[in-house]
Amino acid sequence: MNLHDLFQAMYESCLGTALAESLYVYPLVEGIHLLSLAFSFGLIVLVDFRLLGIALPSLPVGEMLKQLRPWMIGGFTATFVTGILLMFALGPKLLATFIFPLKLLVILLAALNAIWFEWKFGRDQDYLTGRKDPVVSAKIAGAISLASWSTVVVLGRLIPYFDGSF
Amino acid sequence: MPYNKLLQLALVGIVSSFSINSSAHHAFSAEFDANQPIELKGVVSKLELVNPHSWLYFDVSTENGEKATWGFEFGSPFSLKQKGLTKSTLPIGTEVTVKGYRAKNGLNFGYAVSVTLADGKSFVTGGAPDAPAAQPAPSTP
Amino acid sequence: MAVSDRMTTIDLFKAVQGSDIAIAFGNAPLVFGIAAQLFHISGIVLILTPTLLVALRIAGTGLVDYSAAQLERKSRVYVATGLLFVVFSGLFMLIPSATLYQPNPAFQLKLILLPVALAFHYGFLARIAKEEFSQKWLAKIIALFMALLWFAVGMAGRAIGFLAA
Repeated sequence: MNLHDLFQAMYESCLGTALAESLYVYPLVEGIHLLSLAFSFGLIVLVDFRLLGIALPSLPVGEMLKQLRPWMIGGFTATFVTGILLMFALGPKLLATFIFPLKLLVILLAALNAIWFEWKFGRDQDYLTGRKDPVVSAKIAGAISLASWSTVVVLGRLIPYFDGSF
Repeated sequence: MPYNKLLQLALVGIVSSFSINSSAHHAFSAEFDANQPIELKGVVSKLELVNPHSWLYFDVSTENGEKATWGFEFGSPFSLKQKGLTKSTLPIGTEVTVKGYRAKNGLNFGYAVSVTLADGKSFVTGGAPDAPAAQPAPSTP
Repeated sequence: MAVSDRMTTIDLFKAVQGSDIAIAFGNAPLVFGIAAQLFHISGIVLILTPTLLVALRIAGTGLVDYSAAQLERKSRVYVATGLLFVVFSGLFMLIPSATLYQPNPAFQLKLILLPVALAFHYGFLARIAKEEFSQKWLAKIIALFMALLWFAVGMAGRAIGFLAA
């Protein structure tokens, strides 16, 4: 089963059909997908700004992550779940151009970057309690995060301009 | 912030260098030509009443007696329901007259502004807020 | 009276749409339309995220190392930038098709919710963020209400495309 078959099967499933034909649920899902960015994208940009020294420089990174983590996890859950639902509703036309596959690829890159950051700094006491300025590798991770998540949002908004309905 | 904006500008630049000729929601001008109003009469072959935009396909008889299938974009299921247009309004085989604007790519596609049934019942439809439905008629000869 | 008011609104939107600037916007290459969309989304995040952080802090959670008043002061530049982004990109999208937006119920709702959200934001947020605000429970309720109000503006905006005539 290739990717196109998978998207076709998702589109033709009960969930896909119901969402595609729904009067209220699809607009609601799209609205939540967009506005949950305030928690997912918005908060990760704040953390990236902190790593790069642009925002809240006196707050230790670890402290910031601890305080924002539940909201970020909630935001990313909302964005991610509604995104999956939109994949069911839209089906294989998402694969008609390179935009959506590229978006998935950049999400993968951003996620790997986040996992690397967690693995490297997640248990670092300097980040949890100290006021140590982020080391260069952490700043680079912040820049990669900022660039990749911004690209994801931009690519997302471009999908309807490239959805290849005809 | 500067990173964010620079990145966006760069991407917009990249995008602008491609020719954009696929469908879009909320982007009438990306796909359809406001200077090419079109009116077609045909028989419904398929209705996709789906989000974010619906599509009506119908067969038009051409001058040499052949059939050409046309696809027209409509609004969301919600907006069509508001106008009284549902699956049961346009079953396969229904005779329809569709007015709208032709796709820029020159293929058999268009953007619907109104659809009229054989009994004269008419629905003003359309999904894109930037569509020129309410603008003065384009001055095409 | 109500009828004449309504006519005036429609006439205004017609005049806006027929103006030279509207025609220029309408004829702008698609890339400008896409750029407007991206600025609109950036603006939404610039308004929502800082406002939510202030609201959460007033409610006693989020970035607790700062006071609500400190966060509110820091939020101002982001929210102001976001407002500039959404207003200008929004006008760019609205003006060329003004008469199509005008009768749209979601657009009309947004036109009501937006000034209400702005009035609450600039009328109350700095005040309820102050530490000496005595009735904490009231501050929390107003903060949560404001956050919901901003989300409602966004949802109304998102609904415009689904109600489009």
